[in-house]
This record gives sequence, C-alpha cells and structure tokens, in this order.
Amino acid sequence: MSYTPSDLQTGTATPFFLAYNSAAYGPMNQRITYNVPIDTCAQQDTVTITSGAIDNASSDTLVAKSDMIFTTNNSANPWSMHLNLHSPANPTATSQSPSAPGTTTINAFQDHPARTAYHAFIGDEVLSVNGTSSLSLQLTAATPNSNTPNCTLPAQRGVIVGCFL
Amino acid sequence: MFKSERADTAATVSEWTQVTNLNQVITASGQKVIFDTVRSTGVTGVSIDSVGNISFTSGKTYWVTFNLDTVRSNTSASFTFGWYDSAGTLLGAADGASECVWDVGLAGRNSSQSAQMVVLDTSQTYSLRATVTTGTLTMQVPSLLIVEA
Repeated sequence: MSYTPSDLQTGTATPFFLAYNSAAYGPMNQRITYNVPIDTCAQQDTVTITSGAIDNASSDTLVAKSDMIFTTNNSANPWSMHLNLHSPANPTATSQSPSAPGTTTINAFQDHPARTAYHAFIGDEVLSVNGTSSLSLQLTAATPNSNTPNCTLPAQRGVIVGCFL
Repeated sequence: MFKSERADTAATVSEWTQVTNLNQVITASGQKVIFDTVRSTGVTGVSIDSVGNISFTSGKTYWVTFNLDTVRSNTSASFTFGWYDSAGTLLGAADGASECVWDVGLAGRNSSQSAQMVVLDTSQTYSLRATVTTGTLTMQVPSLLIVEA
C-alpha cells in the first residue's frame, strides 16, 4: 500500500492519553510477562479502560506510541527488557518497529565504562492497530541475556498516547 | 466513542524542527526548545514563536510528540524535558503530558527520548522546557510531530 501526504487529510483523528498513575509498579525482576495496568485516561473522556486495555476500540483504526521511564534496582549485571504494546485480541493486526510483531525492544546499555549501572530506554515503539477489540500494554523480560532485569515503574511514567483514525 | 460518532474532521500532520537555530545550546533549567521550521500536510492550527511558545487554534484536538536528539557535554550530564502551560506549570500525566528523561545511575530515572502531549485546552500557550541537573546540551535535530483534527 502506498499513500501520499494528501491522503492523511481525509481521515479523522481523536487523540487519547493513557497513563499508569498508581503506586510504583514492580519490582519487575522475573522472567515472566508483566502486564502494566494502565489505569488513567486524561484529556479524552470518551475513551475508557478496563484492566489496562482500551475499551470500545473495535471497528476502529488507531495509532499509538508508548513510553516508559523505569527506575533501576540493580547494577553491574547486563540485562534487557522487551516492551510489548499490542492488541491481544488481534495480534496479527499489530505492527511494531523495529522487531517482529509482538516484540519491541527496550535496549539496555552502559553510558560510560566507569559506571556500573545499566539503563533502559525504549526505542521505536510505534503501534498501529486496525479493527481490534482491545489494546493492552505488556512488559516481557528478554532473552538471551542470562540475567533478569530488575526495575520498577513509578507512577505517571508509563503512558500510551495516540489517536483513533 | 466509535468512529461513526466523531465529527468527520480532516486531520493535518505537521513536523517542526530546528534549521535557523540549529544546535541550540541548553545551559540552564527553564530554557525553551526552539522550533523554527515546519512542513505539513495542510493548513496547521499550530504556531510557534521565535522563543518556543506554542499556540494551538481552538476547535481542534492535538497529539504532540517530541523526539529528542541531543549531545551531552559529558557522560554524567542529566536532564529532563517537559511540557509547561502559560503559567509555567509543569504538566504531568493527569494533564495529558509526559516527559523525556536522561537521569543516569542506580535508582535514577532512566532514559526516554520522547515527550508526548494531548492538547484539548487551546486557551493556553505551551512550551517545552529543559530541566538540566548536570552539564549542558547541544540540540541536534529535535523533532516535533503534531497530528491535529
């Protein structure tokens, strides 16, 4: 499929802003899937959420971008995490970058050799979903690193922002 | 709200960046990021003045994404960029805004290179301001992407 910029003028757009707004979530320190319980919708009162998922997203197209700022609990060990922002009801309709569908990488890195703490950031975590029933945000401990991550998510530091098209 | 319930309003996408003010240097907290060049798919309801104050035309809603590209003065330089309203108040998630952060070290807030905001209240003038904990920053090609309808 190809499009020109003028095509973008024919659609509708209704922005939404979802956030995790409760007490610090975690620690996330096991090789299991952590479902981040997005619980707050700001700036758009027509979007409701249940158990971390957007309601009433069926028959709609939406595009969203997630972002998280973790607090690390360990140091000196190499680790990484994967962020998985997807629509569980229809994962095949989810597109992500740069990894394969269902896996968007959060990179772990060391910013200076003198430091022992590693830091996480989320790369190009862009989501588009078409005609699905719900959207949730999941964090998954990554392989192949031998060490498990250990971090928490403070309140207001995990968001999903986007718009229905 | 379903698509059929929403007004059939045309969406416009605009991208703002630095050209004239390329390599803006951030040396102190409170400095606003300057965006001096825009390209868009149509007539945009967004205007940004020469010192970084962002205004939005009423009657629309806006999804704003800031993508950071900067060089730190040294390896310990740390900072945040956040959205502020007309009164100079930092906006949080309850206001529909998120920050981007570089805060290194164990138990520090780790990094994020994007700050997002949804704007419904167009009576305010907004700005993207830095809080510099350590060091200075040299902006490279910061990008502000706005979807409006």
